[in-house]
Amino acid sequence: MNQSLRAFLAVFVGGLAGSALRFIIDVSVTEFAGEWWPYGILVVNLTGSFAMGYIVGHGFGSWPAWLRLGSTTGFLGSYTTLSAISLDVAVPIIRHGVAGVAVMLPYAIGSIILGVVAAVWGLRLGKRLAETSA
Amino acid sequence: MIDFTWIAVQVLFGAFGAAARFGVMSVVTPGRWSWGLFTVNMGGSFLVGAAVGAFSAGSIEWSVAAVVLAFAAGFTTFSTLTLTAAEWTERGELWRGLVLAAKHVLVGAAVAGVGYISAVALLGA
Repeated sequence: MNQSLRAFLAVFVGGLAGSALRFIIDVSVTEFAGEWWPYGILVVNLTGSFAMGYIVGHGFGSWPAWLRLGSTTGFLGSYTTLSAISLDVAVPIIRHGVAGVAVMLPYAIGSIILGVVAAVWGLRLGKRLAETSA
Repeated sequence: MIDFTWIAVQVLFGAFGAAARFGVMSVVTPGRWSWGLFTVNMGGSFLVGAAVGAFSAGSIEWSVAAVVLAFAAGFTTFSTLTLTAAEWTERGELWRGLVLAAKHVLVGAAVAGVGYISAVALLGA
């Protein structure tokens, strides 16, 4: 199979799985925690950031290129999302002004800080486990 | 009752979004500030703002807006952003990593707001 077609296919199939898992986790967490705050997307983005850091930190070992691309760019890229944060922050601020800022700004800042911390944690853990198993 | 066909459509559009992201990021040169990533994240943020704005203005059905949201969710990504920021942090440039992540999240919200307001202004009664 053509190399670029295989790459696109890997990203597409990974994207299918990532979108499905995001949907399941978002709905499940929202069911549990309620709709007033976007806990579902926060959980998705933090776990996805950790997993991305872990996979990259651990190294890909003997994984073929299509699997690396499918799991990172396809699966985790599609599992996590930025547009949901953008929408969840922008619309309440436009509709409710200062009250919207008070509720959604902590969500935006929390996503930034916790997301980077989760990715750093994943990177370090992945590297450490790769070193111990080498 | 759970509508599995509707869920499958949304998942499918999420995968289309992922493939489109891969295409855009293969073409736009990453450069020092990850411009390919910035392009997809801002493009997707504008799309969701415009779709929800158009729905609020009564110009499109929720089903159409939801499909756009599903596409944009797969088109944009958070994990590549936090990984890039984490790699800067691990090189001792904590602030650079945080500024990169903050730029995407805060500018993304502003871009979604512009999309929403533009759609309401253009399509509203």
